[in-house]
Amino acid sequence: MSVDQTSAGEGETFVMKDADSLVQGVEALLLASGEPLTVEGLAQALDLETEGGRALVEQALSLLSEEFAPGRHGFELVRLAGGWAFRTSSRWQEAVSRLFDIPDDTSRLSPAAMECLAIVAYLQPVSRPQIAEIRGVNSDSAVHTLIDRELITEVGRAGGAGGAVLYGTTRRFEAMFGLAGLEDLPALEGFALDEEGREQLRRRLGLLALPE
Amino acid sequence: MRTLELDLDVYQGPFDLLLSLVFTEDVDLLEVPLSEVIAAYLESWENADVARSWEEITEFLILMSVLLEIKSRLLLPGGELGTESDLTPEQARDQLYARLCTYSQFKAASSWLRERGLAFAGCLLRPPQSVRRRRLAPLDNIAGTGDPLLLRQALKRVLEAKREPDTSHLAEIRVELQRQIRIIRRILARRGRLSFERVFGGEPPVVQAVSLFALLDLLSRGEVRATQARPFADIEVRPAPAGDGSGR
Repeated sequence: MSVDQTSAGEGETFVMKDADSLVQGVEALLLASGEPLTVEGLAQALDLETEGGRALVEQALSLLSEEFAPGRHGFELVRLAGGWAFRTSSRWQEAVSRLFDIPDDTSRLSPAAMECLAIVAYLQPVSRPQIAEIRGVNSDSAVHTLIDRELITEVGRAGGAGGAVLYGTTRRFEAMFGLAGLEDLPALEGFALDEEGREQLRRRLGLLALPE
Repeated sequence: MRTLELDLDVYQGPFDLLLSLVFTEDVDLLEVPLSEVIAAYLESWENADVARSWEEITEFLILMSVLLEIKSRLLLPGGELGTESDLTPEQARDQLYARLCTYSQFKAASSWLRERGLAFAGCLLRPPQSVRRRRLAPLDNIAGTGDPLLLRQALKRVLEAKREPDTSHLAEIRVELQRQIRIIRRILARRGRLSFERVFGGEPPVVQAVSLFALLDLLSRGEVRATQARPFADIEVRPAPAGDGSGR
């Protein structure tokens, strides 16, 4: 593995003896961390807080993600929740769960909470009345559950101070669902009812004669 | 449509029920008499081996009331049902259809999320190491974020992490057998006699119990003699006469 060191530029406080050292440094930090690390966090720890330095860190990450691509080892380097992290491979889930008690966070969420979570994930920032409007039912309890689990959080207020509280998802949400970021969510349109489903819905509701 | 005033984390809402009936039951809900749907439900209830939960019955009731309202709007001319809405029956139908379509999208998205969550549940990061708390970022890095909410959250996390657990509701009781033995010996040396009730009667039960153990210990060593007029009466303690190895 090698990193193009020249991109660090003049005056770079680059203490790495060689390019491999940088890769190793990034490796060490990722291994030491219990949470995804951002490029900025890595660059800061390696004393490479310049644009050139961050580019070097990104280069090192790119090399490492090839080295630790899925399927090559029992663990892999993944983009997760806005950062990078080593994660055990899904191939060994069963073995891992035989040895460790894995928290069943997803199963513990009720269908109502999951629906609220999906609404917040796609429509954020979104208020509780908006969530209730979509679900057709008061959803305060489910929203509180999600706040308690740190999957959503307050991100502001509609129309400034005094407006309805707006909610957005957290990094923990992204980590729990294996998302690099919100851009990893599939397009909402993909979940729309297909033509057959829409027709069935219209027919069953006695709406077949109505235009869509 | 009236907003349902229900706030249960487990309750899925009328749209969920409506959708599941539309897609799982082979019946056109607004074309058959609702009484038949209700009769069919009650019949299945009677035939069921186990009693249905209140939750399920309530859900059914809510669904039926939703359907009744929609159907009434369809059947009654001019959509003059109730005063809560100015919608015509056509608009009400359109709106319900549109809302069900929107809801179904998010329902499907939530299923996708759940599957994804389950798929990644066994893919583990290294556990956070509490012994090695991550250093806070230098102030320069966060200054100028200009987002007070972000700062508030960060501060909240820091303060919560540092907050000592509140133990004010726990009374601190310190009592040791050796210490109680010393107390009894000291009083006996000074006054020549000791009333258990007077010395330890006002103490918490655990202190009284340990003091009694101390007294029993001194009795077994033959250092003291104790007398009690009747059960539960005060215990009077005196030093044992020299050479007397028995207590009473």
